[in-house]
Amino acid sequence: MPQDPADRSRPPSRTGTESHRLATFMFLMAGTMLFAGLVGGYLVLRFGAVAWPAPGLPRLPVRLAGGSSIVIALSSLALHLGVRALRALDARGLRRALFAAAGLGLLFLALQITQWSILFGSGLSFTGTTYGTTFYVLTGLHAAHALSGIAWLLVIAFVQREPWVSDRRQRAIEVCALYWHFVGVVWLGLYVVLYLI
Amino acid sequence: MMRRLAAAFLILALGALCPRGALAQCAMCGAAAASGKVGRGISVSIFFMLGTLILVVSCFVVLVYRAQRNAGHASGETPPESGE
Repeated sequence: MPQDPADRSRPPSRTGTESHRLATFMFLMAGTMLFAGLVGGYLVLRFGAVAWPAPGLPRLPVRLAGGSSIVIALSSLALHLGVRALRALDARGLRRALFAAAGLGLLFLALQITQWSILFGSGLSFTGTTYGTTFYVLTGLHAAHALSGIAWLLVIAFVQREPWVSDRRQRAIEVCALYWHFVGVVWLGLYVVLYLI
Repeated sequence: MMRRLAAAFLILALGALCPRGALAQCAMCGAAAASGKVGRGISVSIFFMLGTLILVVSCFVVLVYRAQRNAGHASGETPPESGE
């Protein structure tokens, strides 16, 4: 694949890892702690409550959320295959994988919206109960992350039309893949904490 | 750089020398919180957040260590002999 002339003059980082990957990991560490703080607050409220959920409030749809988990895991897998296609210099396979990952991400969001509408219809509103507030804040923040990841995947997929991938875009795809795997892992953690415990 | 380190050390030292009354408030709140159901929630939450932090920092350290080791192998560097 062609090299960007600017890349050859870039000095290696002191840590030995590439700078874009290191910066992404630091960003994702901050994101992880953001979710950890919110889940920490949720645990305080949950274990401090007399009954969870309070009487009269609906239970969370475990099966539907399990379906969402499978969908986002498949999306992560599709993007992983895309990165492998990128390393095998298969630009067409990469584009297909990017569209597949974005499509599965959109399906995940559709399932989340379905879940919210079911719960909202059952009387679980955003305000009034800590049960509803914590649930909508955690899942809503995660959905916002997922939406930004899908937009990023789609932008790369639409821009990538050539049968080769420039070095700069390879880095963008690697970073996007890391972010998307992060979104998937966070959802699996949220699924365990919100639905299974 | 040294000035910043010295300032950070000074702040930590002042924090360590804080009056006992302030620490007593921590103990009072802790005792009040630990007595009820909220105490259990706080404990679980602290363990969860601490575990996440340790996991995240460990992953980062492993990443940097592996990258450095691979970079050393790639450039053909040999580790310095011990005792020198």
